[in-house]
Amino acid sequence: MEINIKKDILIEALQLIINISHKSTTEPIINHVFFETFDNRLLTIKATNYDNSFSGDFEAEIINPGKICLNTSKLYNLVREFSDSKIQIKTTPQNWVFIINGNTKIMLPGIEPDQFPLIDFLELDNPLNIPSSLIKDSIDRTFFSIGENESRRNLMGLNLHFIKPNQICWQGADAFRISHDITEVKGENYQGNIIIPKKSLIEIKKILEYHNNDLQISFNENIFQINAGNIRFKTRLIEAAFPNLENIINSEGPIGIKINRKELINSLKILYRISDDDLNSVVKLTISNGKVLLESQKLEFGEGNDVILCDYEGEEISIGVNIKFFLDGLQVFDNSSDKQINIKIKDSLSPIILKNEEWGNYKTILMPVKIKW
Amino acid sequence: MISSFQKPVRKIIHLDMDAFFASVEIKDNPELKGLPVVVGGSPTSRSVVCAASYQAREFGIHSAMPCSKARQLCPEAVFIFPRFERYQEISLMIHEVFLGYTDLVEPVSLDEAWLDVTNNKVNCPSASLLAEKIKEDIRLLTGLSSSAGVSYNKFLAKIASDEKKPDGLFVISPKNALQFLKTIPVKKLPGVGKVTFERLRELKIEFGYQLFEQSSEFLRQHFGKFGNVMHDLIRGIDDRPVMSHRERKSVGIENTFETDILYGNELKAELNRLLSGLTRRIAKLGKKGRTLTLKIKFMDFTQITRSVTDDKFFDNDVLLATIAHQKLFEVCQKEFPFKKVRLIGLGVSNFEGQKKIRNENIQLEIFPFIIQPENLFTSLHLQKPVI
Repeated sequence: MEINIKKDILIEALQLIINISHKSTTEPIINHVFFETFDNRLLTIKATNYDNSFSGDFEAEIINPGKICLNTSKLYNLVREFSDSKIQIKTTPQNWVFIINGNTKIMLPGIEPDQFPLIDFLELDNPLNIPSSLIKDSIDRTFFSIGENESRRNLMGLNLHFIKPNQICWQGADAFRISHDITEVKGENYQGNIIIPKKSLIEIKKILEYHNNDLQISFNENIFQINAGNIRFKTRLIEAAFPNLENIINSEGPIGIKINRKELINSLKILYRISDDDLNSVVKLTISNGKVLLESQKLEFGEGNDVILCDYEGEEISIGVNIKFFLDGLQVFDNSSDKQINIKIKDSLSPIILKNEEWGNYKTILMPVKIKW
Repeated sequence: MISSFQKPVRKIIHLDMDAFFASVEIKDNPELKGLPVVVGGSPTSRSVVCAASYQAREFGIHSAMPCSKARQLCPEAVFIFPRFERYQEISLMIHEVFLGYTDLVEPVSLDEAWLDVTNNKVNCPSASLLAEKIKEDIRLLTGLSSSAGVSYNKFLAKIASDEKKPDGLFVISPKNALQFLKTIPVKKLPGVGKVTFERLRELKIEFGYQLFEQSSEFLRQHFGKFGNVMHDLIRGIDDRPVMSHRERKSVGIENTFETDILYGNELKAELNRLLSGLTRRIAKLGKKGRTLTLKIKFMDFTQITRSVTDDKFFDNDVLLATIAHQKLFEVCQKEFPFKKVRLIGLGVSNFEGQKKIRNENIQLEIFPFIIQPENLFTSLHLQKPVI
């Protein structure tokens, strides 16, 4: 094999797979990237860790067709240091790889390309065409709440659920919070309810950022696939049932306040600074006519409070919230142009709901902290 | 000069009951009034004095002195066996008085406490007036007298309370603190015991003004970290806050024998007696420790401690007993055979969750809302008629 490829293109491609190619493993072949020339104008790049698999076609000048496997992180770190914009890659029959950049010449050992595991993408029924921004938004809005506790496997991923033939419900949840969004898609007769692992979402997001256009997704009970222009990706799914959260999601409390989101975030950040990280830092919100009082717990390492104006009129109510969770939930709305946030409360022990006007169907649900102060 | 950049001046009261145990006994047995009363064990035993009334003190009797010596000093003294439950009861009453003025109360022992009255419940700006009132309240409630020290930190308040005993009140204001500190003997500083005092004396430092002249480098060189502490204290600096909830860091029990014992069945039996007392105390505290300390005092008053720290918390008495006996064997049979033992003590420390502050906040979970949604959300609509 002998090819010329632009440094920018190679770096971009390697960035998409650097985390898929495992660094430490008993199986050295999967910390390698697979190169193969294709159609005399493209270089096919493949990587896999069996859970996630990637295949992409990138522009290159093919001088001699062929294929090779190279250590991914070694190659990536080298290419990043290169100064010339053109990279030449040549292989010998003994699987030595010469990499030439300007006056720099590198020789690396490669691995017999036939040892690379076969990556087969499936032709699944009923693929869905969808704008990449739609999936990206849904991931951005739910990622923070997706669980990481191994003992609750069904919460360790993003739930994609067709609640109607043309409506996807996206949900992320851990033991203490939920984020929930509903988006409409074109077409009809879609169905399914899957859980995409949190780890794979990071790789998927990279692809969505790279391919900022319409793409095709398809899935069955075991895998989820993306077909994004020159890139194909698949991930294994979490084979479990996502809990039914409908009740908690539809349990909007009667007390509603509208408050400036930036001001609220600022106050919380200040109170978070006072708190000790060992403890779960808690803020007490006391909502009364026209204002919200935010108080930190009074502890040896200090205390603080703040007042923010709001539109509330009614009986005074107090509720405790984990500051970190509260901030996570509020900061998701950073991408929204709506300056206000709506907070819905029932009582001090029932779920709190965060939403705004602009994002209509999206909401975050936080469980309060029971406090005795 | 106090500039506005400095921390606001605190108002601390140190309150110390006068000859507490002895005063309680006299209060409960009025016929003892005016007599030299000594609370402690029998004068024929080897126990020590827990408290002595002021009349007894005139004979030179003081706490921690062997009772036999007290008898020598004052043959007519009345010896009373201590009733700790009664003292605790009265101590609680006094604590209630404190709480009427401030929540920031740090008890030191049954008869001593620090109070931070900077912001007090009666909005009284004068700490000395408050101290006067607290003393009066205690007298009305218990009939006992106390001594109070008032100042702007814990250390000075404590020194002040010692200044005008009994039934005294002494104030050290920020203005006269330095002057006062220069006149006190360094022995009075907290942390300065026999050894430190000897070394200070060798360095020709016996009074506050002599200590004041030393640089912090000099003191650190001779006394390590404690040098820094002394350097601060003699300048009236002590930022320790009054801690209203102090966690218990260890539980211990010890016993001095009637006669010194060699290692053997009798000593093992004494250890077993201590072990059962210790496990009772641990159970009462409701915590598990990881470190067991054995203390042994020999007939020549040399003292040895041995500690064992386990990876796990001691959660059964058998394990504690095994380790204690093992250590006793090592010390008394292997290291110091044929040396009679005067006292043994056992202690457990390193309690679980010791560093953490008890957090009463409970983060609620979503699960109850998923598993039993009817109960929490639609209970109003689903209520079944009672038949």
